[in-house]
Amino acid sequence: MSAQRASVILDIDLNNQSGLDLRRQLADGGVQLPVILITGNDNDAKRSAAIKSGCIAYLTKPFSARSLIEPVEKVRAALF
Amino acid sequence: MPGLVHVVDDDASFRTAVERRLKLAGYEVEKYSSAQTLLDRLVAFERPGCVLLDVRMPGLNGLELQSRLIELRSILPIVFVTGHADIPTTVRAIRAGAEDLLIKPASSEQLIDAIERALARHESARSHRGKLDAILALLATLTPRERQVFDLIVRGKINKQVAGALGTTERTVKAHRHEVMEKMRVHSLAELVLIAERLGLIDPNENSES
Repeated sequence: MSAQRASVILDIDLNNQSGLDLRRQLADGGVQLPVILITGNDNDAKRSAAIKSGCIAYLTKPFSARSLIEPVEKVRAALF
Repeated sequence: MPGLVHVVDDDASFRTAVERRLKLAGYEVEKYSSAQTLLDRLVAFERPGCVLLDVRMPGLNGLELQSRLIELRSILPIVFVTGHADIPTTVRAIRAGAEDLLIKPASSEQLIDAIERALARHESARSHRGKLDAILALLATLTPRERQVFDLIVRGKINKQVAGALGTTERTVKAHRHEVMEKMRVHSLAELVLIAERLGLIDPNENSES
């Protein structure tokens, strides 16, 4: 994997599995990337689960370009 | 929020169509056929507002206009609306501080949502600038000697060190210090240091010198 600071952007509502499950699998596999979670259907339960999982940003569609780019920029600047 | 939207696009039909939709939504609108026209006219930049801007235009393009506005120390937020969006352009625009970048055709809802965010950001930027101006005005009331004392105490120098640096007595330094606190309208050194940081006179990340 690249040594550059990378982040992962995950849609929670993936077809075969939830983005949160995938995230857990990645973590179990030793992947320590900062994660941005996105969903088209926000609800309180989803939001809490996402935030508890420790994501650096939780975005609900439709979201602005800025709200996606800002967290990624922070990862680049190693603020996360 | 009320606001004046400056619409910059070389496409006349787009300008007219957007003007209609924005006026319906309650905004005031100024139209410009090119980036240069906006720079030349520079009207009403102090009014609460934002710029709605295309990226690809003949002459000065949207990103170049964004740079020029930054050079001019404009705090007017920019919402890009473009038919040609690619990732590098989007990232450049946002990194340079754009509020958002929308893809044509943008719905009224998307436009208004972005404009509202831009207007809110403009309001807090104006408020922040206003506060800075007020602090600078207070700083200007310090005598040269008081200013020297200010510069030293916000860097952590104690009265004895200040007296040594300025070739005066501790007693005199205390008197100047008192005047500085009064004129800057603060009650503690901590507040004074915060002011110095806000004005960029000291770097909050530097360790205080011994």
